[in-house]
Amino acid sequence: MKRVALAIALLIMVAGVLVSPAMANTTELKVMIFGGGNGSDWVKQAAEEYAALHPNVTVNVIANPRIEEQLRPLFISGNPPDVVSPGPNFDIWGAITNGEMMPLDQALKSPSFDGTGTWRETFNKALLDIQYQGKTYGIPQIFSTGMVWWYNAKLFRENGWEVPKTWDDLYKLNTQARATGRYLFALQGIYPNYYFGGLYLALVQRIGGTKALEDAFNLVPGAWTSQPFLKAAEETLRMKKAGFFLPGTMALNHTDSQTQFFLGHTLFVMAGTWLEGEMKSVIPKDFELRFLNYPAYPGGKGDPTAIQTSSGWGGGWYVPAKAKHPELAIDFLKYLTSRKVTRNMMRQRGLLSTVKGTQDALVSEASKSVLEAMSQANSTYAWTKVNDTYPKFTSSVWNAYQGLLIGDYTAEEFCKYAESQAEKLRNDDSIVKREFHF
Amino acid sequence: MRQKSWPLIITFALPGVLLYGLFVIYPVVSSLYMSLFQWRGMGAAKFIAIRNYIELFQDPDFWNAVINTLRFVAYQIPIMLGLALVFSLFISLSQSRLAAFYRSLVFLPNILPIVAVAALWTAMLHPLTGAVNNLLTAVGLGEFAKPWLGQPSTAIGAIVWVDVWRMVGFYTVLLLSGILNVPSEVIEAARVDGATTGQISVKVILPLLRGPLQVAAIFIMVNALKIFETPQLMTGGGPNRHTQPVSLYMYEQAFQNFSFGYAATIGVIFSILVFCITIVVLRLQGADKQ
Repeated sequence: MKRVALAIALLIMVAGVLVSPAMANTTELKVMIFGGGNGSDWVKQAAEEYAALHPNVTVNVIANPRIEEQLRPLFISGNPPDVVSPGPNFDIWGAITNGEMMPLDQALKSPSFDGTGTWRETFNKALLDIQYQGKTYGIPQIFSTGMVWWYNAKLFRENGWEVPKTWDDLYKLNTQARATGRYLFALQGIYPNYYFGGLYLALVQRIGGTKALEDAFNLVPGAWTSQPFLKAAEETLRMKKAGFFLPGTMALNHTDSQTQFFLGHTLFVMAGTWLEGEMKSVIPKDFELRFLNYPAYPGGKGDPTAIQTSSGWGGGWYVPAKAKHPELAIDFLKYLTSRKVTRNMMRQRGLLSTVKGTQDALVSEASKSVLEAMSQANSTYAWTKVNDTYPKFTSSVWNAYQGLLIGDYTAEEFCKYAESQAEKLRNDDSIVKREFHF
Repeated sequence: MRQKSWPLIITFALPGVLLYGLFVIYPVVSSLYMSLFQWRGMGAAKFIAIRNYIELFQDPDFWNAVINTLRFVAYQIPIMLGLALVFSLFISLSQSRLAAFYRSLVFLPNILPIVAVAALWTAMLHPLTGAVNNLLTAVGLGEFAKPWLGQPSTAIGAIVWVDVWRMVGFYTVLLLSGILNVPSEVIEAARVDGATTGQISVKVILPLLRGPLQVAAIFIMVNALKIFETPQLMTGGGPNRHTQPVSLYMYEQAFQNFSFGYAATIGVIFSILVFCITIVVLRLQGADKQ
């Protein structure tokens, strides 16, 4: 018995000696990503492919809808992963301004994985804008709209409804929808950021133009109480009074309200391009999901073709300054942003990408409708940059917008409150300010 | 002999003192220190002296959160104590063979995880598909169907109800143990004197339950002061902060707004407020005993 045990022990030792050199040469690349509507399967698949191409590398992809809770202590303890895509709830602006992320400008000058120019040339130049003090810190591989409107083209066709082109058309459509027992919107009631972007700021832009938004976010005194902001608040109350919103909408979360839309109980829903991927399991097969640009406001100064986009900061790819394998991380990111992987991502998730020459992979009709509108748009505005920079300010204001909808504030009181928050931020020299140009 | 025992005392006390220092004293001192800085949670912190405190005292959202917290306390103490008292008296005086079953039944929600309870009630109070509204509609009371968690007038009440539903069993058992400590001769004597069950409850048992009632009230107060999970999971503090207690506001500042220094300031000031409330309550109890 003792001999058998000794033989097993010897075998284990020999196996250890044989295996350990190979193990010692294996480098583990740690990738941590937000597990949200953009999905993570395509990243895990790319990680396996990359590891197959590099026998001495293993890529460990950790995806979690609350990844920020894992990332924060890792950054504080100086032990961050090699690659991160932190999602919307991580303080990416704070991480960049505090030197926690590596500038990628040098890497962007090096050849791309596809071998057709530099890595920078892989991307649509205008969309590669995760920048601070002239340096690029992140790669926004996925392009998303802001909180835009979506509708079911089939439902409109069957009922003979016209897609609204002006805000007045919405009121006519509301009458038609109510006659069929439907409402125009189910708001994501408990998450006011959806309708603050998809309704209020959409209105402000259509009424006062993008300049009105720039002034407000650049904290120009009086911007939040200016005519476009006040009128947009008044219009919100007018819409509420006209019965645009599904009763009980203020108690709904995002999936609840989106489900109401896909069940055909409402005509529109406001969300980004992640909507289709996020709600895949509940979308009926014959549903014709299409993008609808906000209607023009009668007499409004805003460009009616302007599309609200997302800054994409949370969804971008970053290499932490203290990453253990920065060169390997960049090499992996080059593979991840290659046309092959990007096309796979677009096919799997129906997402749009910033990678040039991949549009042929777009199978989603919903995303194609966004692309078509983008080609006709004269301007875009990514207001979420403000939330990335001043989260406390924006959360105060969008909570107050929720207050406007439930009757806590009048339109004037809401605007005054927003202005007071802007004034507080303007006077706080402990917060680094940033200039916004859309 | 005394001198000889000192090394032994220190040896046994040291682990406890170290753990207390590490997990209680250090975080308290650290919070006080952090409250003097503007810090986004990573990178360098900027010293801003007492500016966070000045901002806090002028912050209407903080005072709104304090008032909400006090509302949770004010609603929960009478409702929870009242129901627990009724249940415990019913179970103890019913002389039913099912008393043990009732006791288990009322205690059951207490063993469920808070997350499960919150998810269950959020689904039941759903404005469109919830069982509560469906039931009201089914019995012809459709006009009372409401978006319970989506309007200020009902949201806080709904959260209080869920917490009461979850915790009332615990306080029922606590009071039940107090009732069982009432000498049976006293109750028997009252019965012999012709007292009804109601009279025994109010005039005999209730005065003898003062101690357990005070303990239960303090427990409820402490739990209500630190309420977090139920509003976080059911309303996120909304609509428009109508159900946001201080703990949730502190969480928002730290983990959503990345104002860790400000969150620490909220913690410091609220701890002082809770300390003051506790002193007042203890004083009142002391006066009561005298």
